[in-house]
Amino acid sequence: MIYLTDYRTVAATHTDLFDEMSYPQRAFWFPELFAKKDSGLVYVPHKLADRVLDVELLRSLRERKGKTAFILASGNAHFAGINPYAIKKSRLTYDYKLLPLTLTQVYAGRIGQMCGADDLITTDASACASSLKVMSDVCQLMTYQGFDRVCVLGVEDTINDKVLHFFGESGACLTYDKEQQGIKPSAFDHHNGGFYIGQGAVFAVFENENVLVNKPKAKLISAGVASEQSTNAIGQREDGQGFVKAAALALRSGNISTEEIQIVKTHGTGTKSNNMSEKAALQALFHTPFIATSFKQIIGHTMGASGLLETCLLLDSLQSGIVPAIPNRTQKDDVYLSEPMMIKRKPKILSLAAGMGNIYAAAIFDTRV
Amino acid sequence: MTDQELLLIMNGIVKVARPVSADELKIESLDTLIKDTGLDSLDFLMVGVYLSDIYGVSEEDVKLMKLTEESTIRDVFEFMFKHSTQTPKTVEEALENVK
Repeated sequence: MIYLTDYRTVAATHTDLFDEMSYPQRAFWFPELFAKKDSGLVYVPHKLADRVLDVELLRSLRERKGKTAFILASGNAHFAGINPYAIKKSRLTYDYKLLPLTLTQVYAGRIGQMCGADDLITTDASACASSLKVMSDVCQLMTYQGFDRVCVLGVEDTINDKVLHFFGESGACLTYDKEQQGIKPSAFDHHNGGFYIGQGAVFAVFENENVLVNKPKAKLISAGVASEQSTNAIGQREDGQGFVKAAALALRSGNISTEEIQIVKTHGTGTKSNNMSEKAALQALFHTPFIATSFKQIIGHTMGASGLLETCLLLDSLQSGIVPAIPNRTQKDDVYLSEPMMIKRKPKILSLAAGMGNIYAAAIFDTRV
Repeated sequence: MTDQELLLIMNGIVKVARPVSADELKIESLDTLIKDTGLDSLDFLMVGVYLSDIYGVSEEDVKLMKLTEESTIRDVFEFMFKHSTQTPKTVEEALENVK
């Protein structure tokens, strides 16, 4: 059995408008993380990660017995330096002097050492599916390779000139011009849709029954990862094939039917293509009632961190029996929540994530532990 | 500055360079061998960059620093003093920019 025994999360809830960008847009961010960036001694994603790297938890992990792995889910890999596309120097622009630490495996080596991962330290760059994609690795390592514990850090450098330019230019995020037209962040809605980029990170510990110290938060039942037949590496098929394949794999390997799933934590970017793709996938997979929610409109799209971070935020919310709604929905239906919903029993959750480059991930968690 | 003040600067930098295990890496003496500090090569790269920032040592000059198995924390400070273009008056001033 694989238990999610501990986690720490951080996510910004404050937005600012970055009107100096080539594609003006809002973003969820922690302005204080950029303080003193001009010294060249500040690397923002590491400052962000420090907020979930609880010193006491790391110390405790180093002292625990068992074969331990560490995975850095770094999403689209780290970015550092000045954006050649930026129209002018922005409040985000900086150059970091300690280049080796921007290499994801080098950084993973430092953090892995700090959590006692003497048996494997590795990284994953499966774009925005990254932290949920590594749930498959967690299952593999703990089921077939004798690992007792896997620690996962999901963090990415989301708020920088390059990311805001790229997402703005590609029309993936909600830019200021769309906001001016009255569009608000939402998902699975005819009128509103889309997301802002956001800063967030998650550190999670998965352990088996042999090394349990504390009461687990949830069980990780199974996970799946897949790509779809496509000629567009950054698009999504309208029929949701990638989501279906990943979810079907997770369901099959966990010997779970969709009838047992009560909540879907969607990827939920709220873009037209994701709405279509993910909705089609869920229609194909489910033949019994379920509810679905999305967090990207609440905390922004934290990219590589998003899948696992949002799952942990849902687990937090479920402690109070509440499934958060998807903000700014103008439609009412029985599946995609427009209002928060109270639930009485402890549910099984299907979490979904997708990443540019044709990668889809699914993981099933059981909150009854 | 006294040895004690220089140690405060060094430990302040270590805390920033390695925040999640800084408590376990307290340096007690300037005569501690670098290899005995518990800092790895990357940590020490960070420490060097922070110190050069504090003392205004150029990147070209920093590259001249040659450390051996016998090098101590004091050796590192002496290198910084030799190539410095600025000198902080207090520990707080020194650490102001690396926090």
